Order: sequence, then C-alpha cells, then structure tokens
Amino acid sequence: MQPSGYFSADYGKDMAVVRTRAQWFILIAFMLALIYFPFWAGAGGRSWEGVLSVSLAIDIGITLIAVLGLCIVSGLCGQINFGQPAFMSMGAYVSGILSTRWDLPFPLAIVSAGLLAAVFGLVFGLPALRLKGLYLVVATFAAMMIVPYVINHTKSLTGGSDGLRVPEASIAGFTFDSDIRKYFLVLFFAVLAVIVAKNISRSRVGRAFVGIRDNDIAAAATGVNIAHYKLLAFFIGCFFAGIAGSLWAHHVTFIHAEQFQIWDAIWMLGMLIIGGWGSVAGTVLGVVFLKGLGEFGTVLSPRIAEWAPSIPERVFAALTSQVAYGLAIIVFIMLAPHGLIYLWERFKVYYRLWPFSY
Amino acid sequence: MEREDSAILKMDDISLSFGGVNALVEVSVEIKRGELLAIIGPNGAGKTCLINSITGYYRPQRGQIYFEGKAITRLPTHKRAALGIARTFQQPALYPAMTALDNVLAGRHAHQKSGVLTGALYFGWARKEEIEHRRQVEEIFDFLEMQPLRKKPVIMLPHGMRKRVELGRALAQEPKLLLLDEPTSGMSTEEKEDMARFILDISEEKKTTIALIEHDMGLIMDIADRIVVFNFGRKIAEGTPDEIKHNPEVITAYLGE
Ligand SMILES: Nc1ncnc2c1ncn2[C@@H]1O[C@H](COP(=O)(O)OP(=O)(O)OP(=O)(O)O)[C@@H](O)[C@H]1O
Ligand SMILES: [Mg+2]
Repeated sequence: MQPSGYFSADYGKDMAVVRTRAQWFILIAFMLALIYFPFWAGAGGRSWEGVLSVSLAIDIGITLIAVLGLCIVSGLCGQINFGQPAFMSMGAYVSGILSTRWDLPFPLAIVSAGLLAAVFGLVFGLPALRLKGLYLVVATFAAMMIVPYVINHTKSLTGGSDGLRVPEASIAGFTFDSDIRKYFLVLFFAVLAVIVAKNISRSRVGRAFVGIRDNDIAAAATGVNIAHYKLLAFFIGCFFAGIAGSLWAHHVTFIHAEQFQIWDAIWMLGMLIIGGWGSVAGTVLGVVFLKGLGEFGTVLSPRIAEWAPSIPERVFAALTSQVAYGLAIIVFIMLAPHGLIYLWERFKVYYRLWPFSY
Repeated sequence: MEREDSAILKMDDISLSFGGVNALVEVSVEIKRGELLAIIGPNGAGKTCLINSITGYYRPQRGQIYFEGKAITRLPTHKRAALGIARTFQQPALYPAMTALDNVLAGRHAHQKSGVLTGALYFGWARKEEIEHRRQVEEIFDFLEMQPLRKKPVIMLPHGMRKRVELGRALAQEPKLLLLDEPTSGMSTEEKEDMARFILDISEEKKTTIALIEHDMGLIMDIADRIVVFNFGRKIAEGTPDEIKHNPEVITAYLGE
C-alpha cells in the first residue's frame, strides 16, 4: 500500500524501491548511521552493554551475504538448499588458497571464490532438476558432508585438519587489518549484495524464480526454461556464499573445515523464515534478528545470573546456546509464519490508516 | 500443403494413455488460423489432456503435432510457449504471492531479454525494459478492466478475478494460439458475461486464434465458430454450432444412453 496523497507520475517512478522524499531521508540517515557506527562502538567501552560490537556487525554482514544467496535460491526460487555453509567454506578455502599459495591479490581471490563456489553449487543444483522438497534437502545436505571431507583429505592444498592461515585482505597496498577497516570492507559487499539481490528479485529473472517456486507448470507454460533457471538460482546463490566465505576467511585469518557446521545451515534457513521467505528486506531483518538474539543471550545471561542467582545455570546455558535460536524459529513459524517483513508491512498499513484502522 | 496454411495447429493421430486409462485415442484435430474453436465433452472426456498435449505438459505416446507447419511434438513446454502458444488452466495457476501486475508481467518473460547481470544492475537497460513492458501490461489491465487490482497480491483476489488475471498473463505472452481451459468455470452469471465479451474481443480485435474448453452450452453456441466434441478420449463430432446441436451422437453423449 502506498502512502496516501502519493501518486506516481510515471511507471519508472512507480516501480522504484525508494519513492518518496521521506524514504530517501530515512535511507540516507540509515547509511550515515551505518558509517558512524564503528566509531561509536569501536572503542568498546561505549558500546551498549558490550552487545553492539563491531565484530558482531562484521559477523552479521558476512552472514547476510550468504543468507541473501540463500534467499535467491530457496526464498525466491523455492529450491531448498541445505548446503549454503558448505558453499561458504568452499569460497573461504578458494580465497585462502589463492592468496597464500598463489599470492593472488584479494580482489581476484574473492571473485574467484564466488565463481568457484557458484560452479560447485551448480553441481549440487543438478539434483534439483529431478528432486523436490525433502529429497532436495538431502541432496544439498550431501554438500555439508562432502566439503569437509575433501578439505581434510587434500592436506597439501588446504592444510587438512591443521587448518589454513589466511592473510588479511588488502587492496592496492591498503590492508584491512583492524575491525573498523574490515567493517567497511564487509559493509561495502553487504550493501552491494542487498542491491543485487533486490534488483534480481524485481526484474525478469526474479519473476521467473518466483514462478518456478509458486507454480512450475504455469511458469513453463509462460516460456520459462525451468531447468535453466533452477541452475541459475543455484549459481547465483552459491556465488553469494563464495563471496561471504572469502570475506570470512580474510576476517578470521584462520580457517578449518569444522568452522562451517550443519547448525549453520539450519540457522540460515531459520533467518529466511523469521525475516520472511523470499523477501530481500525480510532477509536483512531475519539475519539481524537472529544474530542479535544470539549475542544478547551471550552477553546478557551472565548479568541476569548476577541479578537473579536463584535461576539455575542450565537455563542460561540454554539461552546462549542453539536452543534460543531453535525456539525463536519455532515461535515464528507458529505465530508469524510470514516473517518480520510481513509484520512490518501490516504495521505500515495500520499506521497510515490510523485512526481509521480497524 | 494448402491445408497447413489454414491450420495454425494440427494434431495428427494422437494417442495418450495413463496406465490403463486411455485419455486420448487416435485424435486428429485442426485449429484454423483466426477461428474460435470450442472443445466440449462430458467430464473425463480428455479435453484438458488435449490442451496439455498441445503445450507439451503431457507427451502422447503416438501421433504428431504441428504448429504453423513445424513439428513440435518433441519440443519442451517453454519452447512451445516461445513459439506463441499460451494457455490458462482449469484451476487458475497463478503465483499467489505476487501482485496481479507481476503475474501478468511474468507473462512477458519470453519477450523480455534482461538477464542476471543487467537485472542485477537494474539501472539503465533493465529499468528501461521494465518500463516498456509495464506499459504493455497496463494496456492489458485496461483491456480486461482490472486496473484496481494491479497492486493486490492475487491470493487476495476472488476466484473470478483470478481467472481474469490468468487470462491477462496469457495475453501478455502475445500468443498466436490461445488455449483456454474452462475460462468461466465457477463464475457468476455476470462474471461469465464479462469473460465471454473479453474472449470475443480477443478473437475479433486482436485476431488471436482461440481454442476453449467450456461446459456452458449457451455460451458456446453464442461465441464459437466451430465445435469439436469429445467422449471417452475420442473425437466424436466436429462442425458448426448448428451442426453440433443436431448431431445425434452428441445428443446421446450428453443425455446418456
Ligand atoms: N495425470 C494423469 N494421470 C492419470 N490419469 C489422468 C491424468 N490426467 C488425466 N487423466 C485421466 O484422463 C482422462 C481425461 O482427463 P481430462 O482431464 O482430460 O478430462 P476433461 O475432459 O478435461 O474433464 P473435465 O471436464 O472434468 O475437466 C480422465 O479419465 C482422467 O482421469
Ligand atoms: Mg478438464
């Protein structure tokens, strides 16, 4: 629903994402806040209860890129991909190996990481041409098994179970060696990823994806080459994962196969569900929400324990662990299956009609 | 050869079965360029199977299908769509989460060119293309008198309107051959009249060849140029509405033995 009194002068304006002056204002203010954030939180002492740290923001940004990829392949195109962390680790290793063993500069390494993860994703996307739903979950799940196995058994290349040291990213002599610098590197890629995902979702390719998700018979009848577009979705989705993996590798500077767990695959899908399946803005909300929840649990539970020593420690252990994530996902599936973005849209409609809403 | 000129689509000796069920038995049908052909028959006669065979969703075990003189029997569905065959479904097959506008825009797929890279950049090429096709889609919304529905997700639309949006999506494909599977089923009388008017307008103004499956005999007699009748997978009669009305075999099929 549009704000009242607002009418598009032409189709171009009507189709724009940011339409009104107020929306532009909010967007610019938000971007300025993102730029200012690391300086505010960076010193550590000033960050609110230690929750809003720069390293959390970096983590959110990298995860967001991977989950946006998942939003394309699973959210838009409907092909459940249970192997996104595996494709991410693929990207991390490609980038790590290229920059340590071949001394490839970071920009080339990250693009190669994206492309190789994408090609790898195509291979695991092939079963999608025949399988649907649960069967596809199992097929993509195989990536989660195969990738660590291959990494651990190609020691000369990957360092095997010893892990691999990766240098910090550097572009033309400028090294991203502090949290603040890494933050801006990740911010750049995350903003780019949001723009790319949104643009794909609102143009021809995105409609073909959603067509396949919602009614593949009708999509074929309108001229969509189903096989081609399913593979394309895997390619794009895993490209995002590869980029995220590369950023991750150059951020933590030490990678090993066990860093990417089955849990991560579940939480990534959970972020899509919580945010709103198939919505780019929803994906952003979902990632921030679930990552934020985890951080709150970690930081706040010792404090709550101080205030209320009668609560057994087990409860906090659960709060800070996967249980909190799992509970959040279940609560959302039950109470708000369309996700945060839907709640937000409802709120906007309500607010615009106020006080005449019912 | 001269026959192929008048027929836009030719089905030659088609047989389709599912296990023991013979859905289509040695069926030969021609759809003539520019005509409005009605396909009728009792439930389970094989009408929908006929459309599904034309679009490539079903693969008949026997027979050949020619579109504009070219054999399309082995072409996948999306390629047949690109040649100019569009359809609607007995149960509206829309994309429920999308708006009516996006559903119809999705019908422009084969006419649009922008890919992943141009789409990802959006500004410039893809945007220009989107605007251009949006304009054409708006014309369809005007034509089908559904401007107020544009921004509504189709999940919120009533059945009759969904059928109209689906017709819009098929029109957006700019088909040479439009296949309509029971376009008025489940509609109120008023909605049926509107739909009949739209179908006639498409036939007369856009000169689109139309084949439609329909159970409402009154409507068929009013608008069809020609009728083919099916029963138990076989074509049992073919002719003008007047001929069909008086065909004894058709009367038995409909009234029962
Ligand atoms: N996918 C399928 N698998 C098995 N049998 C099928 C399949 N599709 C159709 N049939 C059978 O083929 C026969 C013809 O079905 P079809 O849907 O073409 O009938 P119809 O003429 O469209 O009937 P209606 O007026 O009820 O829509 C029916 O006996 C039906 O049960
Ligand atoms: Mg039918």
